[in-house]
Amino acid sequence: MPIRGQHTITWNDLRRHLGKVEKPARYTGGEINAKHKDPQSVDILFALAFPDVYEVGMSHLGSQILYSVLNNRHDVSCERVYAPWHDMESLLRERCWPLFSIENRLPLSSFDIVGFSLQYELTYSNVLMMLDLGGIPLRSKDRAQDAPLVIAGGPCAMSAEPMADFIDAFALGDGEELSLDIVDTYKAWKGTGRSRSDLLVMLSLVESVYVPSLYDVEYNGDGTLGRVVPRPVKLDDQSYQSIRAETGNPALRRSCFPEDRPGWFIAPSGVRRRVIKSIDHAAFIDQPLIPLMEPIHDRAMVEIFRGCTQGCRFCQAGTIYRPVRERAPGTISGYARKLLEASGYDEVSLVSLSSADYSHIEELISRLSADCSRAKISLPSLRVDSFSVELAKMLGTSKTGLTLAPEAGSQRMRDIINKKVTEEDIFHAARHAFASGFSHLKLYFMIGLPGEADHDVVAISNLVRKIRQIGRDMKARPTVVASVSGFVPKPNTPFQWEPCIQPDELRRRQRLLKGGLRGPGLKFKYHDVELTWLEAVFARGDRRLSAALELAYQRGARFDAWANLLDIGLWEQVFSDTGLDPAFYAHRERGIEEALPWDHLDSGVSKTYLLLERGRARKGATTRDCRTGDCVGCGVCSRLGVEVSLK
Amino acid sequence: MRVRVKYKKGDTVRFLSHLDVARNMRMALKRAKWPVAITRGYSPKMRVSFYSPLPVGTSGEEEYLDVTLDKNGITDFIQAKAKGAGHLLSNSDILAQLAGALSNALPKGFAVCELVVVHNGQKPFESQIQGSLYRTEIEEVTADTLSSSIEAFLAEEQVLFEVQRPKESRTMDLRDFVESISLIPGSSPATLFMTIRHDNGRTVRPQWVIDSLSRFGMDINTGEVIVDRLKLYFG
Repeated sequence: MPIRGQHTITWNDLRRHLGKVEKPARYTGGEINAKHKDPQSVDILFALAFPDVYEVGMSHLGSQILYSVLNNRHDVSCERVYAPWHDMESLLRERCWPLFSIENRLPLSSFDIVGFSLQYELTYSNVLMMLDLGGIPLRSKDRAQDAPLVIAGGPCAMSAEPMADFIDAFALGDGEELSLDIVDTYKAWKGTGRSRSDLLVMLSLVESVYVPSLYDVEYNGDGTLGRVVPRPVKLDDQSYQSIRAETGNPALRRSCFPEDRPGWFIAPSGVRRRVIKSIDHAAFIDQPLIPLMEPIHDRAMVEIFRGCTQGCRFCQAGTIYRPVRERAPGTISGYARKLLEASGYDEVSLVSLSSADYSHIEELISRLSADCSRAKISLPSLRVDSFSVELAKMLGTSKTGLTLAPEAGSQRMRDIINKKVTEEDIFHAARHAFASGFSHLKLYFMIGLPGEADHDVVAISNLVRKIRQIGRDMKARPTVVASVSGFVPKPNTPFQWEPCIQPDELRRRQRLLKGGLRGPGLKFKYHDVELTWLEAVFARGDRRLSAALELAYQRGARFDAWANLLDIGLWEQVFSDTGLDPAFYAHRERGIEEALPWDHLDSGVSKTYLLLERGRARKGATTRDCRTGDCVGCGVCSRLGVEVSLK
Repeated sequence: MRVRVKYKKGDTVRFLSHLDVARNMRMALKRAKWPVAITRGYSPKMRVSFYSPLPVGTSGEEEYLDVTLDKNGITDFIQAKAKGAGHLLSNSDILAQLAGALSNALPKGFAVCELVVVHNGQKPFESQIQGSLYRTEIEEVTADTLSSSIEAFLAEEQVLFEVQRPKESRTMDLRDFVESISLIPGSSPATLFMTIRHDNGRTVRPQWVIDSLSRFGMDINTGEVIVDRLKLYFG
């Protein structure tokens, strides 16, 4: 066990050996505004771990926010660590070096808390690799008293049962305040000399913290989930008294320390997502980390609002970030100016789930153009309408290319998924785009959606060809790219009960498109069927999948999200060897009465509402956006005690 | 006005690629609020030129880049700084202000060594570069074991070396570019100084020379070679 704060890897070690690996600057840090605190001068060492390569992790706004929030505390030092690429993993193993942090090159095992960001299911194997290389036992139950507390947040935490055996505690929802609550709880525990299980009990009492080891999972005879119930824990007298006394919330105290069972603790039956009420001044990073090596998104980022209530029925983000909370235009333009000056970037991206929906988007853009002269402004997610095209034209970030997401080819399918655009909207947007000088249109679609028939798939190529014709008629020399991915049903969406279509069927539907999308001015891009399949298995998986995950890691699964690195044969063998049926998870329609592995984790949106939406989808009925109309009754505001906040 | 910046790519930033170095320099110039001239056209860019790129892993004590300043911008910059100083600025004051601002804006590991004004009518800078002086340290090898293979290398008329590039490979005569190699007697790790010729931007890397020593009985584990460029020579 390395001594806390000890530098086991020196710069001299690195300079001697990093010449052997690809892109060595991934591991050498030196970023502007990186915080190098003396580990001895703080109470809590926090490792912010991102299970993908450096240049991907450095482009993630959420990690930047948490880095800033945590390092603003004088008693905390937050350092970063990323997944080492294959060559670096080999080097670490060959030299017997532990995975180390960027800032002070501390072994991962010397941190108090290691916090992973779970953005995508196919990064799970990298989490295991990082724990293993960092000298931390993979399974929560195998971690000794002095091992780091391993936590995880991000969208996948809302349904991360496949990771439940590896993660000590999940943080659900907005991390700005929650991460500090966890740090405070850890700090209160740290000096007491109490057991690690006491720490887990204390954490389970923090609002929005889910400690999976405090719950038992029961299964039915047919393999479906029975229930997830808190397992009573016997505490020693002293722990019982003090933890009970520290529990401020009287209702929680009553339910978790039942009077008829003195000495016993029972974790809350459900865990509710944390939501910050306003993001207007929260989450602003005044000292952005600027990597010395080019990240994948090499620009300043300002979040303009959080949450989205368009209500697309396939979209998980549309549920788990509700409600919409906007930042005021003045705040945004002030931040953007400061960020550009502090960073030296010449582009600022206005980040949100659907930036054209921002209430004052035009005012914001003209303000930014005035305040940040010369800087380019980009909107990462446009709607499919003429207004969005006009915005893109105003911005001038890209002069030739434009990306829009109609998501489905036929009106019937767009109604089913609640993508509220008509064919005429799409054509109108296309005409506007070609007239504005955009000649390269990229269109995102999904296939394999619930209720999809062959003619809905073919409708994609028909739509794309019509758009090309519009471009030709306007003499715009159009190139239309159709990027088509396979639909994966996600937890916390109205489609969470639906089956994901079989790989062969997905391939067949891809072929249906191929012919129609061949020809001059057309391009057809599609995702690997295997990626869709593995994502579908893990997206709605339960705890039993942890066995497959661990075995796959041991057999070499890494970077599964990288299509060229995903070894599908390995995974198939692993499922077979662990006796797990991937089809049970990916391709089975769930019954309405069936308990789902994330039912005890409450996004705030009620299951009743999701069911209602599912019913409406089947009828092809659309649902309006609550931002501009009446409340749709999803339940988020009343259950989480927040409200829609437009500026 | 064109300003030539002599800068250092230090030990801790040695693993940055040339493109990364250029990106960091451009961003630092923006942070330093240098009044850099912008190219006209479709996608405006700062008018900055870099010379004799260093490979990933190699540090440079004296590297160069040229920055063209914008006429109106420089007037504003001078006025702003003069206001702060309370008196008119001489040319050397202006250069000192520019150097100070850039210095503060650079990431750790980089440093500004010197600024000079480039006058018109000179030969292109790249073609003025005649040679580089490199220091190379080879871990786990002593000078004594290395000396005979270096002597053998130098005794050759020609040492052809295939340079692997992502798209194609080409053959270069290393011997033609190596002016001299001097080994520090008794050094461990073996330390040697190489002077390598540049020919209108064409040159070879010390790493290739080390790799070629395998032909002269010296197999060296790549990656355990640390290369620093100490100096550029001009003609």
